Amino acid sequence: MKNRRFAASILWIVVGIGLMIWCWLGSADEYWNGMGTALVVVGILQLVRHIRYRTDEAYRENVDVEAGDERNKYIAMKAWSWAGYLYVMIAAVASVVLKIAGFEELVPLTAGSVCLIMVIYWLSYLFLRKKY
Amino acid sequence: MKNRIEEIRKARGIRQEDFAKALGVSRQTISSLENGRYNPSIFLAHNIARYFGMAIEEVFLFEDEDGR
Repeated sequence: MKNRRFAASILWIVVGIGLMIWCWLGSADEYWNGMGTALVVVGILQLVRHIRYRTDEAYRENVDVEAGDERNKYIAMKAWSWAGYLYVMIAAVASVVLKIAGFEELVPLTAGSVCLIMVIYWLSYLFLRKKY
Repeated sequence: MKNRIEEIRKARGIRQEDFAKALGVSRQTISSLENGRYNPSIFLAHNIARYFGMAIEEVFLFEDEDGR
């Protein structure tokens, strides 16, 4: 698991640098440069955490406890649940506001994202109902 | 669900940090359990009771909706 994270952080850095070079050569626009920079930053942060995990015993113990702590897992699940609810509410209100304000072209995006998240919810619900 | 974790822990002179370490959870989890803000899983409840050498129902006070 830990080695997979190490490999993933190296992969982010390599892909990020690749995207940045691709942009510098003039073959891609600034979007890909930004994406590459973000991947490099994420990869470096993960790498630093991984190295600290390997070398700092107190940090490793703390990380292991936090990762295995059942209250943390409960809070993380609850936070995802809240994020889903809030996103649906915000996107639904936004689609009405955008419609009234005359931004017709943005309405399908917000309303569609609400429909998409509801479909994902129901698929997840059906899957989890079979699993548990 | 109420519990007697804080009462039993203090009676035995155990610090929250040491208790948390023995159970493999964070100190904040112990604090939340003691304040009644978080109800533990059956596994953690079992481990807590076993740590104290008591039965689960001696540590955790199960009450129904009416508080009976």
